[in-house]
Amino acid sequence: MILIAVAISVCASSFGQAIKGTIKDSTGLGIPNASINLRSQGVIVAYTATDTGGAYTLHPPSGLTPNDLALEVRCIGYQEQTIPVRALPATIDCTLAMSASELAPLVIRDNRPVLHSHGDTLDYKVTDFRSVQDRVIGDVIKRLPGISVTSDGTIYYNGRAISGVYIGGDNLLDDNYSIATTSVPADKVDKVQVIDNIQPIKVLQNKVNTNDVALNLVMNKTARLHVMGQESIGAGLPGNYDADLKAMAFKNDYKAINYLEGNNTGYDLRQELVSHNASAGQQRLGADIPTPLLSLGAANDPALSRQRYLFDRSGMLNANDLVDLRHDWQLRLNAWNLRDRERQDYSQVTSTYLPGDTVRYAGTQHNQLNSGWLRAQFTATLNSSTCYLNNVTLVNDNRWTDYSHVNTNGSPMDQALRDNALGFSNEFNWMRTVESDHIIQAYSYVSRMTEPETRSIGPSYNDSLFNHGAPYAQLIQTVDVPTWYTNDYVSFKVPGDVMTRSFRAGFSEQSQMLTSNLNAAFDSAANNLSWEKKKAYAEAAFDIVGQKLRATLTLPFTYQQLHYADPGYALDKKLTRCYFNPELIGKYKAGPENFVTFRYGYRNQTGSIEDVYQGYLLKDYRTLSANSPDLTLRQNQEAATGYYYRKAMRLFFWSLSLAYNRIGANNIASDIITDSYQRLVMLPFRNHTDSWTVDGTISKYSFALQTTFSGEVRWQDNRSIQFQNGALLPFNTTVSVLNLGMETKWSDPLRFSYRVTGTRTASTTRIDQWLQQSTIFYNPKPDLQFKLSGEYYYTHSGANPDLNYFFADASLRYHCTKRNIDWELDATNILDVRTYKAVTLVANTFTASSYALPGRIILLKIVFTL
Amino acid sequence: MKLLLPLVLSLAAVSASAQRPDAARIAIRYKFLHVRDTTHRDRPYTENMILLVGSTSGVYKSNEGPAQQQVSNNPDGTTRTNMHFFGTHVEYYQFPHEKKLIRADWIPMTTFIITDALPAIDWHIMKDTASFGGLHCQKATAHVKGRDYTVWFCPDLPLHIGPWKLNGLPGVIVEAYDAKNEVRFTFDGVVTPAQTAILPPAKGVKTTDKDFANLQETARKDPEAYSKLMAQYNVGNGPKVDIKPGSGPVINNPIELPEYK
Repeated sequence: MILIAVAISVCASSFGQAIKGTIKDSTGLGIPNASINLRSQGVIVAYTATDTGGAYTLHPPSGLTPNDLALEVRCIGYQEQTIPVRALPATIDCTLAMSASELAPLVIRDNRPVLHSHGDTLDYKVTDFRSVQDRVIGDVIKRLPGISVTSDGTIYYNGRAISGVYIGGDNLLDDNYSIATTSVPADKVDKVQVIDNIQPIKVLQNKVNTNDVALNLVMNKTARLHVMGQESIGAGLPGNYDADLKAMAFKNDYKAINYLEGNNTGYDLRQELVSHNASAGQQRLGADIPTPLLSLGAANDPALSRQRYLFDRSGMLNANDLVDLRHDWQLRLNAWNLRDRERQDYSQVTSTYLPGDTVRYAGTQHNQLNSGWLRAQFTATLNSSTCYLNNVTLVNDNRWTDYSHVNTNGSPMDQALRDNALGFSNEFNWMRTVESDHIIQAYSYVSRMTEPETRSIGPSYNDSLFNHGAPYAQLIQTVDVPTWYTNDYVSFKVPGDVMTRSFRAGFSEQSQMLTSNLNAAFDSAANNLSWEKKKAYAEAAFDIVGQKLRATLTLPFTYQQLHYADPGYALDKKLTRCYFNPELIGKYKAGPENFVTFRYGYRNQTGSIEDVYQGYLLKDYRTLSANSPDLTLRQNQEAATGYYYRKAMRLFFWSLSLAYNRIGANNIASDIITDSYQRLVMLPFRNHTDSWTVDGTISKYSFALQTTFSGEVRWQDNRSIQFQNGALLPFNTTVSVLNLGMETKWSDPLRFSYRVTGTRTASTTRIDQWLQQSTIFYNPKPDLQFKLSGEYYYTHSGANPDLNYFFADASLRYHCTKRNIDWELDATNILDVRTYKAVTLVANTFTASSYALPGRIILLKIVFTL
Repeated sequence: MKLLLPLVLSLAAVSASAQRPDAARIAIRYKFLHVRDTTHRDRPYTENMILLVGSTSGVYKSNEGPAQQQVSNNPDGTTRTNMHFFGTHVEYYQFPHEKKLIRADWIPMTTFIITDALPAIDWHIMKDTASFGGLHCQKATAHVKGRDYTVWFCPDLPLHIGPWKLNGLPGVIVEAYDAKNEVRFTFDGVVTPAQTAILPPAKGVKTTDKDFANLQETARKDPEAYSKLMAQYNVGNGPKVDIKPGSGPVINNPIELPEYK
């Protein structure tokens, strides 16, 4: 039936690189007017048609490599054929079999989404995916096939976290991109572009690899011409308000997102300020940012979306402005001032399962957290093809004053915590190309940070331990770790045809002083620890920037001198070490739209000042912590690989990744847990932690059903050991997550979305949690929109009673075209759920908590577009 | 008038076209946009168009629905017919294998048929790909009739045709636009056409591009003279026609621009 005779013969043709031949049908007659297409990496690069006798001659463009060429023969009424071309010139004859259908069967439907790919860029046309109810671009990004957004706003493209969101090609926000996704109006964006392997530094383009993937918002014409304003005011019951005033510009030479907003409806303004790549940024600076040492010992936040449980009153002024000057210069300001007052009413029972014993704490907490956060960053950038300069100056002032009334195992107490973090830093980075295309670089980073913390507990808290059993007024813990840090280097890069070689030499210095005092009646309650860490390093790096393979091998050698001393404990230690921390990162393009990534890294990590203080620190009212004088040294090995597949034209994406991490350490944390407190000491004992992660994601848009289906499976296994009450215990925690979702458009006025997330946490016991979320969008008229959504939480853990929670929300929006005003009526938590109970499991600690919730809120809002 | 008479007389009425009938297999819909008047860029001309694709030929025409007729009896006993036309009347038939383009155009009451060679276009194929309504397409650019066009063609529909006069790529052109965004053929879906043969009108007056342009000009400037001419031509062939065309749109930016070199 099907007679296919393919004859490929290579002959030295007088035609240069031409491909010629004859196309015949099964009776041997030449087929006229058949399409002959030459494809390279899947795209047509040359084409012709057969003449009346079925003969053709095709002249391919120069510069093609024969091994990925294919000749495609198509003619209506015949079955198409694809023949690999192994050499040029070639003579390719071919016989086509008759086909019953005259045109390839096509599933036909109108107005379907268009996805446009060119090179490393993929374009989503916003109008194809946007629903009229999507106000801001973040709402649209959530429903794009291939893209997923976590609850904290982090955006993943086909399983990989993005590095940033650019606006019109400009970096306005670094990794604080939630500011853009929660404020840029969806109807002002023309396209959302995904740019893979983005290298924003022009000097390094095509010379130094990045594996970053970023989004770029291409604004439409009206947005590029006018400054936009939007104001909304809302008031509701019981005593709620919500207001914001926005001014935005997306011109070619000026971009701005400035706003003032405030509410007490539980919408957390901090979620707009999340730094989504904080750890990568920290690694680039090479700095260990000191973390707060004291806390109120408050219960963990419930695993609900934040708006469901937050009692707060907050306001923020946020200014982000970027000006394009002439000659490739840009100036940028990012500043915010946030004021927040939060209230928490929690009760909690914590059980720690020890061999032969179970330790329990029960308590209630009434907390009030007051914070003021002022942060200002000024950036000046020169980015041209020969020179790059970037200077970032940052001032950060974050103050907390928190109060807590605690009742633990029947004894009441009051706590107050003051924490004033103040920081300043400057990062300078300069590069330029010098003769014969070499690149020189100078880099300097300086920072200064202090964070004085004071916490008082009273009255007579645990007097048997802290005051020889006599009543006393207050227990006061103070601590501060002022830190100086600098990191400076020069580098030299030699770009080549296949490889760019980079050489770097520099030094870093960290100088810290930990002072703490606890006014308790026992010894070892104060610290005066000084810390000096100096490093000198030299590094060679090799970047392969090939068509198929991109890889970076980094070989740094570090000489480190460490000196820490505390006269109060006769501690004076010096440590000199040499380290070698190699890293290999690579990406192999297996096809035009799929690739494999791999990564291996070995890092020596020295503990920080927080690992060597010897005087006791009361970290929270239940945890007393101290360390052995020996420094914790860790060896961190990471290996990861992933396969990423995309078929943009079918809107189909999937990925599979595997990661292994092993951390070896010479010290181990030893807990002594009693009914009233927990004492934490570091002991010299060699141990390691292993963790495995397997993650698979899939996303597909069905043209027939007008639906995006998405799914994710993640499995994570952690194994470590810990000392508890003198016994060495293994800790194995396995977390499995299954996530399925769909976004469908039933008809123009009706849309529906559904998502289910199942999480199983297994350790000494097991907790199963299911979260189902669904939303119906109904737009009976263009100016009238209705939304109804429900969230169902189900928790099952062993013999405990199952927990079931259902939350329902609704909103109605009416657009008054005449005055360009929107009226919006929102009802949150319609069923008025007032308490939420949850169970969590971390290693062998099982916690059952109960949280007060704000209950039903009804809010009427007016939105003016200016 | 005197000049036009021999011109009209020289026109020969044709019967059925010599083409073998070809059935439409698939149809591409376009939203056509044309900035006819550059002083009013905000008010471009728009029309829904369709390209019927057969196995050897295709036709590109308006998809605005048929003309509507309203018949009313006047008190004096005569009948009055009001016709409302939607969209344009021109139809482009492309026969890529014969490299032939047949344009069927219309001046009230008469259809004209103009046969020409398909314009040979020097396309530059790009590597960009995109999907339009599930059709996998590739980008190409060319300079055609005074404008720089970017088009997207679908190799899965291997007939070398497209909307208007665009043709010659190894697949049907499903979207096209010029660099100034003054002429756009925007993809608006794929549909299965009803049983339709791709056949130029059986009855029509064969003419040339130039003569047709002259007639059109006459009909616009001197409708009375034109209707007399046509009446003479269609002797005893129908009712007396009284054509009153509207003032007509301002076209200072035609699709085909003269080439300046």
